[in-house]
Amino acid sequence: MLYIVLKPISPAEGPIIEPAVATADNPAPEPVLLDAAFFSGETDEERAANIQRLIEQGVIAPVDEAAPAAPVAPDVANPDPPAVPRRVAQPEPQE
Amino acid sequence: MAQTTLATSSRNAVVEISTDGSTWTDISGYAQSVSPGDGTRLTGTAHTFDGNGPIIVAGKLDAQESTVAITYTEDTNGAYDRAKNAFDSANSTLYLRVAPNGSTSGNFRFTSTKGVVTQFPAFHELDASSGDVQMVEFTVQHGGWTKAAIP
Repeated sequence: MLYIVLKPISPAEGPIIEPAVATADNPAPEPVLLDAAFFSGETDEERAANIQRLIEQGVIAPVDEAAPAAPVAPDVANPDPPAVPRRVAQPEPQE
Repeated sequence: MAQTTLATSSRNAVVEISTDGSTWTDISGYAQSVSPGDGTRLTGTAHTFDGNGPIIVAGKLDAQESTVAITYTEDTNGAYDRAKNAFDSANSTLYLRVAPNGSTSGNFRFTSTKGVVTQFPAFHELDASSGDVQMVEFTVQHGGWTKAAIP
């Protein structure tokens, strides 16, 4: 099962996972998808409960894998998107 | 609006640091307090001959300074050791990450942008008449916090 990212997610390791945001340069970006195995939970039931909580919070939404992924709609809560498209943070090189 | 029943104390907070923004070290067992910084936006004002009040415009978000108080310990890879090593590195790079209600799925976690350790005292002020735990407080200047859900 895949889930589309609607709001930023902070994994235990790695950079923040940002949702795809439509911009003037890229009005239909590919949605950011996560597999169910990505989410925490020591048992399937616990993982399912955590996923359900995130769905209720509007952080993720299930994707119907049989249907093609719909383009990401503009962020209505933020009609004035940043001038620079947001990207997933990349790790800095070690010094 | 009815009184909320969701208020919490900071007793379950989780504090982490990273030198690359990707691999994190939980320093909750060493950290006593975290001050996030002011979080201000730059503004400009101008008065014109017409009108009474000023024109106010919004600029960029300002840099902010977060402070973290940790216990002074001498163990390798403890919070003091890791933060001091970050400060001593060429660019003093350090990222901060805080989960105010703990790292439970569904809670929020705040991650700083790439920061610079701007102050790091080598040791606590020594006082033979004090029985207090030795604490060190260091400062990280960064560009702000990103709020994200814990998966």
